Amino acid sequence: MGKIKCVYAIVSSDQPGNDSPVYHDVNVSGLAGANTYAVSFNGISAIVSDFDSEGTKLDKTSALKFAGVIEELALCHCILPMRFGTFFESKEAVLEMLKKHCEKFVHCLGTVKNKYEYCLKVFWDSNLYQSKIESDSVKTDKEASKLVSGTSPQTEYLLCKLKEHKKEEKLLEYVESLIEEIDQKLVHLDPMVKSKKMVSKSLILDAVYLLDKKYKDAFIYEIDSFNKQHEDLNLLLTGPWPPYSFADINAI
Amino acid sequence: MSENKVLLNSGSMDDLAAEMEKFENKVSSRIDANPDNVDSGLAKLVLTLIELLRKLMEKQAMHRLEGGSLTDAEIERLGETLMKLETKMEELKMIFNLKDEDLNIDLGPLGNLM
Amino acid sequence: MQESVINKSKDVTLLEILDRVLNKGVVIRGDIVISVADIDLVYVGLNILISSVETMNKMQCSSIKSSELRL
Repeated sequence: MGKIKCVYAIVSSDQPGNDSPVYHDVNVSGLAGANTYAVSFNGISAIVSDFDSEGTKLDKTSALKFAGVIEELALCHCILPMRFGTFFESKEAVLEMLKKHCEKFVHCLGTVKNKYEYCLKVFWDSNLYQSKIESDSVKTDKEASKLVSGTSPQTEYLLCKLKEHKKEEKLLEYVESLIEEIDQKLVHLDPMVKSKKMVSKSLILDAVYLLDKKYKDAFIYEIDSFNKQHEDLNLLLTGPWPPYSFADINAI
Repeated sequence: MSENKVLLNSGSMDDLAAEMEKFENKVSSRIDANPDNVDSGLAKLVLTLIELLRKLMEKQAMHRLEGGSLTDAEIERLGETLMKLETKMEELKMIFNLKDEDLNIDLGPLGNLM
Repeated sequence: MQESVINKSKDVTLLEILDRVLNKGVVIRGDIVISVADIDLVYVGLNILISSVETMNKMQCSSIKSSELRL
């Protein structure tokens, strides 16, 4: 028909694996109420819908609708969510894409099969941050002054930078010890983990975990116990999510 | 979707408020992109790259300082170079009317730039 | 009081959802480029660049303590 295709996700196909492409309807309503359907090839399917680029705005509402489609698909499929904003010219173009990346998709789908993703954010009271930093910094400031001595503006500048740098390193050490602790607690659940440290002055850890669906309660229990052992930290645990963070086939 | 995905939360979620506001601004600036702000999008990208390189150089400089093997003259020169770079960066930011938060993109494994 | 917690949970959930669809998931270059995806593509390139730089940085840092390096 000439309408461009919006791609929502790659799923394991319920069509038998073969080399000839198959197209069939999927019972989920997509963007702007368009019907979703599957473009299948060799055991995997791209779930797409027709998209009217003139008519439908790409805004928060459509992004949320897009996420809704993924959640619904995730209920009965092993799924790799696409990033919002992936469009192709035609069914054939989608098929080409599937063919091109087939192996990587299959591999990735295997990794996320029967697993949930969870997101743990650890916040630190920024006032507490200040006082903790101040108490450690006396020592690190002294170390810095030993390394950079001089009175010119250039050395003053450098000394200032070095002091800051040392403070950040100490903070990083603390966050890494927290990560170590969490890893210990979760080791028996065999998770895949990706984490970002020091995202901001208050968000000191942003981690995502991929683990088997059956470990959901055990996982929550362990995070809760970590929470109880660190009264001075604020935790936010969300999930279960489709494997957004573990889906990228190009991730290095 | 009215689901609630929050499994566990300690604290009052107020500390989230600041993060959420920052994030919300990022989201709306990306998702409401139009030809008028694409240009500033390009400037943002270029400056972010430059800022990234500058920060990497700064980090390398710190490691060298901690190594303790630099002469006084080298330390002077290092300080001067870093100072000049930072000043230049501030100038560029002013020209393009960009603040630190605008350049703070998500770098995946490196976390945020700042 | 209870209600505000519930509302905050919903807000948090919404933001987490948006974060996921905009910043995560499979990234494939579609042949059509629409404004959101347009900016996205540029960031994709940057992400890949950054990963390589980080690896390079790690490699250099391990040798920085023992050898001389020109900045």
